Amino acid sequence: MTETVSAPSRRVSARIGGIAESATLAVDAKAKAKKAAGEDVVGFGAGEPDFPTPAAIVAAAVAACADPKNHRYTPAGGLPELKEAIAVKTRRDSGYAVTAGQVLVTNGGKQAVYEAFATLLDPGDEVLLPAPYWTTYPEAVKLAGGVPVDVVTTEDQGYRVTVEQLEAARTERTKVLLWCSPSNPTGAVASPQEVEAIGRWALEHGIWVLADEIYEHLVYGGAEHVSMPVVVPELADQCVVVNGVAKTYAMTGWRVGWLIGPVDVVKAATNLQSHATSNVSNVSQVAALAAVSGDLEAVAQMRAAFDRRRQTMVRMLNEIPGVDCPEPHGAFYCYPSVRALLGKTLRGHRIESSAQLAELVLEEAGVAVVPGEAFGTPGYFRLSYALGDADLEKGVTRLKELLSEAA
Amino acid sequence: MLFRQSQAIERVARASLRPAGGLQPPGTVSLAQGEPDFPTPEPIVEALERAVRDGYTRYGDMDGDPELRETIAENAARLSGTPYTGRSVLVSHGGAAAITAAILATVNPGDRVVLPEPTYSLYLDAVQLAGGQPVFVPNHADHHLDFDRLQAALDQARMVVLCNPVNPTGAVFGREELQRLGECLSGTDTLLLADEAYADIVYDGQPFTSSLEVDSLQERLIYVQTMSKTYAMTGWRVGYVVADEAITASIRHVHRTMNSSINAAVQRAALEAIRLGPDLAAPMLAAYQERRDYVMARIDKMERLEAHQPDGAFYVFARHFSDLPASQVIERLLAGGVAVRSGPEFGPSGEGHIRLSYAASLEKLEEGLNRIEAVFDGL
Ligand SMILES: Cc1ncc(COP(=O)(O)O)c(C=O)c1O
Ligand SMILES: Cc1ncc(COP(=O)(O)O)c(C=O)c1O
Repeated sequence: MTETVSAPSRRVSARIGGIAESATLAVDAKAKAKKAAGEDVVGFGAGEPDFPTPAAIVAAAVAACADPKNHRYTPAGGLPELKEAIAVKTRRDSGYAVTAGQVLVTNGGKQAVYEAFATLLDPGDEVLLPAPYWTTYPEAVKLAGGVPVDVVTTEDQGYRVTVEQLEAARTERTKVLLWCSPSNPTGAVASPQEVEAIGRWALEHGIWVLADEIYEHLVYGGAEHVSMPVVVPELADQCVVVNGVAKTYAMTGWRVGWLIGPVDVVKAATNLQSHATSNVSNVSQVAALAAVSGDLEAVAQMRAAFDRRRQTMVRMLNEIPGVDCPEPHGAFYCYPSVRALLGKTLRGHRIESSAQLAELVLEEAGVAVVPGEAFGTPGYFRLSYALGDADLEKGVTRLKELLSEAA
Repeated sequence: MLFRQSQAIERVARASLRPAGGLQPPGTVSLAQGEPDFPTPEPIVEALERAVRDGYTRYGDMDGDPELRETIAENAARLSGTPYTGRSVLVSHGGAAAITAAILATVNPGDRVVLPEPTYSLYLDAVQLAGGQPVFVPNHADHHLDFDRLQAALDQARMVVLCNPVNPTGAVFGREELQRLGECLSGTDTLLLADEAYADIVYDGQPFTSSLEVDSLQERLIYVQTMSKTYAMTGWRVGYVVADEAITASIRHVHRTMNSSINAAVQRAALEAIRLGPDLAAPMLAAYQERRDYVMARIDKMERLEAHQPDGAFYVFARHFSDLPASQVIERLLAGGVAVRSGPEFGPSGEGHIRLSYAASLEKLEEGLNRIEAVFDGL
């Protein structure tokens, strides 16, 4: 036998080398461990509503459990009645007129993101990612063999990318623009004019748009979510919309999302899904059917609570020296810059990076935030306000007390 | 805009042996299905209802419910003597996602992946998605492994994929066969993906030897399992992977990028199923055994069909004596009112075969076999 053979366990395919450990998870895991150990930690890491799934949806799911037809395989692309209801809901909520044949039901919005990229990208194809971005995008692009290209936005521009920035990043290989408004992690919401301008630019250059609308119903203070293929109807042929029940109905754990696109794209993505995972768990699909066929009362209530917390949080954050947070208008995140704190000293440590500062904040103040490194922009924190008002105030107060010591 | 699907998806679409699933005319008796015809056992259903009510509605652990992973690890450790922990386990979106993620995580473009066949068609699809090079190796006529051919094919292979018990033949590879495979692989860095979806559906009270129990396979083993078949949970979508921590870590990267976590409540129900164990499914197993015996007795009397008795799973892979190409056989049968799966879907040596599923009631089997007999007699 040759001696050059490595242990089987060390053999990993090249495409995995491209996927970074999800940085959001690292802090989260530490915070969870501390909590489990009984420490008093205020967690601002949550990527999900702190509300329960509405009772009517739970009741629909419970009723579905015992029905043997839900115990069996169903069509890989989703229950026909759910696809139909999603088409109807889409018309109702964003005004985008689509048919059930343009819908693929997925294991959360996350699977929809991956499948859209996997269907569209060939090795070497570039995807423009306005940064800061949700960590999953570059990971999914790489898994699909594509190349993520960051287009960095800053707090000065309210984290809203411009046509000029996109144009500067465009190359012959640019295949897709990732579009997420309202944004995770910044909470930025593009204006209808901005959406239109960017849509027209994509249309003109034959660039596909992957529009992630998962936070469509979480907008505040007069901001408005508009769907890109509605504002630029000609874009429909080169646009894939991603959405899901997770954020709107507090249904993150149920794992139901969908993608909407041209029929041929949806067919190809459905084909992929039929091999990779097949149908989404049926009871979840029935629950999602109840959700999207119902009214938007629950999300209206969540929105009111989030709006109140948002205002508290952004005000309190901006009172901290060295912290600068533009007002978020959507989702449930604040994304302050902490760049002014870099280079200073805090409790004997020189602050080198937001990642290191986040660890310090967890250790010294018992507050868990996600560092900007996780979103492609070091020098920032993401704080979720999907938590109770009292905890929110307690946590930001602790943060303020600690960071005020930086000198 | 002119949409052109990605090369990877195109490869899968072109190479896949799986049919698109055409419509069956009304009145067709289907012996084509790959899933139990029983409802999920009640204690599992009740566990799901409880979990949903108890608020398992938030994001769960991306690698799978920690308690479920620990339980799976304990079972695997007991079988193997390897001290697996929850970190060696990934709970997946069915066995399908376990297979896809495992292959994407380990197979580079151009890598050789050996597929003893006939075998389950999804492996080929996943290898195509990864850009690997599938190498089919026909089994012996009795559906057991042909080690001469295997040995030759395994040279420089990155992976071999073993379905055991075999879908579609019902063959069960025993301890000696697995040990011999271990010897073939010894000293190489070839991985073994062992898919034991039907491990608890084995007949005549025969013990089943899992690849987990074979020492010489341990270091290269990616063990894939699903709740679908044993517990009649196909629509619930829970499977899992057990492997060396380093391998599991890379499979996890792929799986969570494709799927995030899977349904939180369903995993609680899966935990209940695993705690109660395959005894829960004993009535189903007894029914499959009765049906297998019935199907074999019928086939033995047919002039134009012959089959080896399956020792596991719920399929008979029958050889037919006719010159018609596979697609026409399937068409004739469908015209005669019965749906089965075509042999070549499971690899080139499936030519001249059909797969009958006996996850169907005895009445349905009787009618289906009557129709099959009539069609072949009329050829
Ligand atoms: C921007 C964005 N898109 C999509 C999702 C997908 O969520 P899920 O897979 O839970 O539906 C998330 C969740 O965090 C998100 O933040
Ligand atoms: C051998 C084998 N493995 C895996 C599977 C996948 O099942 P699931 O994705 O439902 O777990 C099947 C289903 O037919 C199978 O036959």
